[in-house]
Amino acid sequence: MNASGWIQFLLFLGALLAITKPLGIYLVKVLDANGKTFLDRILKPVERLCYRLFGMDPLKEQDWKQYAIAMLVFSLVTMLFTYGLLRLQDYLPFHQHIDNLSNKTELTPALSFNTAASFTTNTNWQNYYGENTMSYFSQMVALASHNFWSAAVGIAIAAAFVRAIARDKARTIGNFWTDLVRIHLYLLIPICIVYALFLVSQGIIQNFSPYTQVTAIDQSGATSPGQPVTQIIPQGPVASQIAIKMLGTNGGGYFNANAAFPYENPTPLSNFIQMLSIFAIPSALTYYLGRVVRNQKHGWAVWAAMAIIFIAGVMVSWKSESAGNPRLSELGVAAAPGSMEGKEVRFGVFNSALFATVTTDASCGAVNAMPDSFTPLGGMIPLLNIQLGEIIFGGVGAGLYGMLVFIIVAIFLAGLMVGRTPEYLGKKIEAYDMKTASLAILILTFSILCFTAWSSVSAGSATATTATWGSAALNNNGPHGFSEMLYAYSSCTGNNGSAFAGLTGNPLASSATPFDPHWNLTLGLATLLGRFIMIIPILALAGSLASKKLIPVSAGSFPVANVTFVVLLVGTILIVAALTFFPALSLGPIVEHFLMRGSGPLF
Amino acid sequence: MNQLSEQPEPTILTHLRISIVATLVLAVIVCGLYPVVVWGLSQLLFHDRANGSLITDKDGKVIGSRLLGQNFSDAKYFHPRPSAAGSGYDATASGGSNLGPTSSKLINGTTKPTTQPNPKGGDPVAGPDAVDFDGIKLRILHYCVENNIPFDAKPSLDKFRDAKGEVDDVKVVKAFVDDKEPLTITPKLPIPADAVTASGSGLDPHISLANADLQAKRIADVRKLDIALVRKLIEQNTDHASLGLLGEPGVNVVMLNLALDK
Repeated sequence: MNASGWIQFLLFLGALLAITKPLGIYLVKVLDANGKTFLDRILKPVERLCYRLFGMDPLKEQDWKQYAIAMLVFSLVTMLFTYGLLRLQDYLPFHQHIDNLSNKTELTPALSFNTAASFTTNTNWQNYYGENTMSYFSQMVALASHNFWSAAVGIAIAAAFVRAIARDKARTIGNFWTDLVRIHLYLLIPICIVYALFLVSQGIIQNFSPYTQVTAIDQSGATSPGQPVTQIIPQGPVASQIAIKMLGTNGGGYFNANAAFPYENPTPLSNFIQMLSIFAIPSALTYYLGRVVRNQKHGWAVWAAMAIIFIAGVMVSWKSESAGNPRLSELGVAAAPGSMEGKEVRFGVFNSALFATVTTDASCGAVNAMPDSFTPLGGMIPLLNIQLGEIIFGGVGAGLYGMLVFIIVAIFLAGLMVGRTPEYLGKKIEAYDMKTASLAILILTFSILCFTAWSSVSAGSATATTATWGSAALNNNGPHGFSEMLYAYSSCTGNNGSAFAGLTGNPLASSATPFDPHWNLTLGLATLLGRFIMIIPILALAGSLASKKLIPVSAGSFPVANVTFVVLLVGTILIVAALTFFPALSLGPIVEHFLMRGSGPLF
Repeated sequence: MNQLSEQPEPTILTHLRISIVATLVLAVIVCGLYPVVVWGLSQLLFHDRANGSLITDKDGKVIGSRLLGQNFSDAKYFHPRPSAAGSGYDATASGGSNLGPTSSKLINGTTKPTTQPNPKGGDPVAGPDAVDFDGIKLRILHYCVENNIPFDAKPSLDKFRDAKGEVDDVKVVKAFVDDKEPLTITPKLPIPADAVTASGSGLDPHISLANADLQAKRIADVRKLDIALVRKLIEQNTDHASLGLLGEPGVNVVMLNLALDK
């Protein structure tokens, strides 16, 4: 933990704080169907054209059920769209460059399902290597499309929820299609065009050229004079995809190594802006919340609660990564700068730990270093962040609506303690609301723990030659192997998409092992559960809150904009997570931490 | 509050129709117009970078990218970090080792049996074992030997030499996990962490300044150059922190080796 790291961290926090208000004010305009923005002159005709093509009235609002149905049908259609395009990749344009690769991976039905589910749900878990599986067309149309769509859906749900809180005895919470169109046109696309160009200026590629075969500089390894040592350099429309991948907290890499691959994140400056862009919209949404419910201090209190857990996470991960791996130090490897396995020199330990924390606080899941090779506690923080529900700024929209659920639980607990009917911003919290809020939290727990347990004890066929599907996919033995499975289901259920990537989620068929779709299917299912089964209770909660009468704030109302509130909220989040996941974490990273510091056998 | 009760609620078919139209309309915008606009502008404004920051030699042949590491094993070149991308610096199979901190494979390495063609024809026969994964310990040994860094070996490395008198990696890796007397290598200088660990992408073009410094003497000896010149080239090919404070400095191995060849 050096001075340079501290300065960079302060710079990051300062930049985040600085963009929260201006972007938050802009969000207020974008998320209001009648809002006016400085882009109206160019984009208003496009917006009107969209509504005409859709055949709908943008000002006609929907109740929560209609809003939910519209969202679900749209998600289903777009998921089928992507599944179809992936299966048809070989018949669509721009696939020639991967056809000649010796390591080309086939898009089987199971892998296509997993990928389509993963991108539709803003997860972007990837069971494939982008550079040897996906054509430019698949990347640009089948995958990058969802980076926009799933981000817009998340923001729309959050906006609907916030409107519901602010309204008095209302039946409707907004129009899904209007939200969808406005978020695309006024928010995501304009920022992405500028952002993508900045990324190209840093060295991210944007072309449609075939892969470049180059003659390597060092030819000493050539086996015969006629066959020079070569390197195949992938190309493609990368920058346009990376911009929305970060801004929309999607995180699906163009390449397998994600933001560690130099073409996805070439410089420390591109790295800094990428981290900032992950948090930009989620952070601004807290300002949006404050503005819409007419309690700006509440917005900042929520921001503060998020920032506290974020800073704590960075501290633990950074400290653990800087301390490095004592098993390597005792062999004579320099202790400074820390653990470098799986990290890039240009980012170093601090920026790798910060990136891993940011990407999992949000539901982004991009990585600029491999969390599988982090020290146990350094890797536990990303895992825990996901298990908290990715509400520390969180995914675009998903972070805010997830946090609002925790706020309601926290206020309910406070109400129990003082023996009053809990009230949130003038809305009474009643049994129905608590049931839906609890359901939204429990579904995550259920999916993460049950799937992990199943994979841990999964049985193969009775013959000794076939391993169990769960452990067969692991890259590490001992507690770390368990962590790989726990991380996979946490990441998919939480719609994060980062991985302890040693896990082989798409095991290839060979003569010894037949194709096993278990990982593709269970992980795909986990993404769908974690997204939609969580959103439905949340929209039901929004519908219930919208219909309630707004009670004027009185001396008896629970204050939601002071230190007590922040402490209560942070405490609630940590206690819920600790009670739920401490046992599982003990079997993985926690025990591994002590084993690493001891002198016992390796695994 | 809106008076919606007079109008019929939209049916699921209405939502389906809008969904299909919305998917197509938005796809044209975000998958067609958007990437093409970015492509056009970036080809115009940042032509070199948009196309991969490629390096060409004096004949115009492409020999690499400034941003992507390559394999260098010849003693006259600076060596990059170990790479887990394919068989090393394979840009179509990027990634890290994904081995955790308590992995025996990572630290001790592994060997595997091989097969070779049967001289009498028929099924292949067992060949000599080979190193499957060169763990940290073997990398430390290689780094010390290549760069003339003194180290203690217990028991002596003489036990592991082959017929030609060279240290046999397979024997060494097996000795690291020997039950009775495991081989330990203790370097007398701290080994830079980046020199013996794989990067996240497997394509890291950089090495740390300490790593470059330890290799400088070997380069000067092999190329019969003044070490001051080698150090100057290292300095010239160091990418400093962005804006003076973001990230870590690193020496670009590809650009440094090209500068040495000039």
